[in-house]
Amino acid sequence: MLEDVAPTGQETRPVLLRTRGLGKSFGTSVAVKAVDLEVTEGTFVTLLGPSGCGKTTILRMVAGFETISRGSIELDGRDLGALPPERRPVNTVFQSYALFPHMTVHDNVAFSLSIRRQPKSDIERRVRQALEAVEMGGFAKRYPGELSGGQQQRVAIARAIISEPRLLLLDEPLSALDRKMREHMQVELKDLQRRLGITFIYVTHDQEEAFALSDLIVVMSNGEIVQQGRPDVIYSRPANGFVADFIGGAAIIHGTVTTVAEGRATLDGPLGAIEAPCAADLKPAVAAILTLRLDSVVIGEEAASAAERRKGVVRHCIYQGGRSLVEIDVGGVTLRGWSDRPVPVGGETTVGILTERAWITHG
Amino acid sequence: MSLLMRAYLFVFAAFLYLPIAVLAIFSFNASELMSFPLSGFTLDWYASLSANRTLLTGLLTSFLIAQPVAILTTALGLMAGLALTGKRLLWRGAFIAALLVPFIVPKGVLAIAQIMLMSRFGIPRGPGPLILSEALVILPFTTLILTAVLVRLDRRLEEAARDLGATPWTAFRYIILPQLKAALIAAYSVGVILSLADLTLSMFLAGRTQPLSVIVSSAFRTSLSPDLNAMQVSVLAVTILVVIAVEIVRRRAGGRPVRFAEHDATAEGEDIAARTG
Amino acid sequence: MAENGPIGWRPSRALLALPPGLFVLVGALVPMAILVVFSLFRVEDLTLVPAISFDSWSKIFVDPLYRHLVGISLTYGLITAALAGLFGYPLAIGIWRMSNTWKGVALIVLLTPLYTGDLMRLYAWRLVLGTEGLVNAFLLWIGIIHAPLKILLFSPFAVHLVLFYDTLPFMVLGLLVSLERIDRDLIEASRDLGASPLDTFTRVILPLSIPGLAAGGFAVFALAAGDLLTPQLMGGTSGVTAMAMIDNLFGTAFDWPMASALAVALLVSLLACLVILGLAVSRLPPVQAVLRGGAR
Repeated sequence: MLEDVAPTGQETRPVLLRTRGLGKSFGTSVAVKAVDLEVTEGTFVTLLGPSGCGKTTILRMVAGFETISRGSIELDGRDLGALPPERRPVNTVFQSYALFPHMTVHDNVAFSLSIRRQPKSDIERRVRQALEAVEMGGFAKRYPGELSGGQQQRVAIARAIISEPRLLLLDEPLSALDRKMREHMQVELKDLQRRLGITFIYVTHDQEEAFALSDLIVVMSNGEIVQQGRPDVIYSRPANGFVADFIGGAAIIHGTVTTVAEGRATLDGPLGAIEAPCAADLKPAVAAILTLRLDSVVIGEEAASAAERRKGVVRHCIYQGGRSLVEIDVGGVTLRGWSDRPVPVGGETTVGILTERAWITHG
Repeated sequence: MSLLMRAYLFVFAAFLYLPIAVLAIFSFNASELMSFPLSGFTLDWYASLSANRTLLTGLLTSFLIAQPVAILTTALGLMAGLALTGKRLLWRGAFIAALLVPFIVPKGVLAIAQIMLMSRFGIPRGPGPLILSEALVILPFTTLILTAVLVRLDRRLEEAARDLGATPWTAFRYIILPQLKAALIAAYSVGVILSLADLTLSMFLAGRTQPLSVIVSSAFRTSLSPDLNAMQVSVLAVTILVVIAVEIVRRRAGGRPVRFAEHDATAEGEDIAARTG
Repeated sequence: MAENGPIGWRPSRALLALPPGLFVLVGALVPMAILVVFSLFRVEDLTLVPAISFDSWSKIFVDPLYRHLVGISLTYGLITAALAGLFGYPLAIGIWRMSNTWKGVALIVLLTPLYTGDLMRLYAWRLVLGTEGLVNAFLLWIGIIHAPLKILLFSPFAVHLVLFYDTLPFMVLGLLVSLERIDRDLIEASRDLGASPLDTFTRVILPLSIPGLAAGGFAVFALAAGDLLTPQLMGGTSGVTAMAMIDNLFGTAFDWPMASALAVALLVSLLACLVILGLAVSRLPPVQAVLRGGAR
């Protein structure tokens, strides 16, 4: 069974960053409402949400580029207050990379050390190490303008980690890359974080990216935290309709709760009555939703042994190589699931619902 | 912004306006002599100005010359801008260099060379050559103003229009031109203003025509009278009003007040101050 | 000619380069060629003799006066460029950091010298710097001096001051173009990595503003070195420049070949300076980076 515990080993590590009631307003518009966040040292935390949800604003407040309107941010137990960015042991990797175009890769990476007037030999050694850590060892004498997007991104990372900051902030760093490079960089980033042990706070709107990278996901909407937890928890037990929808792929069925008992509830809706695991604070007679992820809907032969079965008409069948994504209309409700074999469009078929993989929560 | 910077900017603003302030002061000064101490306030000079045939004719002449100059230099600047922002061409560098020639070469040398050319073909000095010469010297400015805006236009709008069957001319007329309105007005105004301001070219090329600057320069060497001040202050006041009006038109047309860079950041100016501390 | 259908040759926008191009050709390039040609003629009894003669050119090279005059013009150009760069840089930074509304105002103020008439500028400066002018009156009034300062006007000081006044807008505008192009993220990145505002300025902003500084500097140099009126009317005896001499030779002495030769000599010297300075600037690391990396 899934349990709501923190990632393994987390309990023993200290909290590095803590925000209390953190809020930010620009004039009359509120970008961030009141955010309480705890980031444990050495973890990879992702702020996930649509544009405008406040995730980037929070990042910028931690970095020191935006002033705080309400609340506080503590790093290592110390209130950051109005400390300017250059005095914070926090470094940022920008979405646009922000490499200094007039300096070589070497000088870019060495920047944070050379302004602190570190001894030259020390700088040389650390630059070499940093570049090797991101596999850009041979590029020291090049200029950013000569590099590809992925290469620039790696240099930006090297530049940010060389001074061994307490915290690394990454603002959608992979959004400008093509898919293949993005997936490659995701693996590298995760690997790097694990190796170096630096705490990462990552901002993205791409839920797949968040799942791939994070120890902890913080889902945000409209300036507040909607749900936070391990990726598998967010995935299988979305707190409400917004999260379920944002994660994508799931069919959301609206209905009313009829019975609740010991972590399971019955939802009465367009598909009839379905019983499935539910959120803890659910009560009878409330409006709720049933989320059916792609892996909770089965089509064809396997449907025969599913807990709930319905009949529906196939609307779309999209062959994906090896299996097909099928969209079925069940009494007006569109369900989506995988099928091993292509199914004829327009034909009737049985749909099975694996209720153990379903989840009932607030609408 | 720090106090030091504010003070510095203020000092320079004062410096830039100092000569104009003095001109204005003496235009209201109740004395023929333009020297301190001041004698008292009067509007007489402005009054006598309205009766001064020579100066007014001179102003009219200058103004009439300025219009064709502005039209010509704006039109050519527009063409140059369109050529520069179209498909990238091999001789682009040479073209830009050519457009910079009237700026780099001293006006006096240009004027002299032009007169030599004219003499070879028996062309006399006069308003015609003056107009052409002024338009040439102002061309780099109008090209810059128009190119700065053209560079920012979304190419895709024009491509979409062409794709739907519009001829190049139609695409220009209905897609590009409307977006250029403010810039064209600005370029035209610059043309008029710089034409009115010029003395060097007028000195050489005007021939018998007497634009204002030529009249003033002869007076310069003989007697200086405050009604000249009154004239210049009036012209300047109108010029400043025009400049302000053009700026307002530019902002209404949706442009940011300052649009130099191709990669224009979206951050407000305050951001710079905040970010650079 | 051009067919305006989906297939067929369309008149390219490049054709539009022709009118302005021809205009510059006929209006500037051809006259300058004539200048060279005329410099090879000679003058007898105030008439031009269209026969090749090196009289004018030998005078230019032999008589130190002409070298001297060109030197004076170039010096005025260089000093003005240096002054404009020095004082204009903080101005550009200040304007760059203004909010948009103030920026518009600042630019209008900055461009004042340009839309004041050439002559009125000089006339007005006479009123400021003259023995009975504003500055002297003020200094006398507060008691610092007891007799008017004569060196304020008709002196190298006056020429430099007014040339500076005339050309300052060009330097500031050139710088602003460069500064506006600096990606704001770079400034944030610099601070993020620990650089103080001063460090950010010297290591990021300043290097990236060099192209603008160079462009502004070239413009100011060319304008100041080639100015005819300001040195003449503000300089008194020290206002004799190559341009003044060219004007004299052309208009008063009617020695067109000599005037042309000197004009060509001035132009070539101007160009040589620009090229040398340009090469020097292109050697600077930030510029190298831009050229090599093809960055923004």
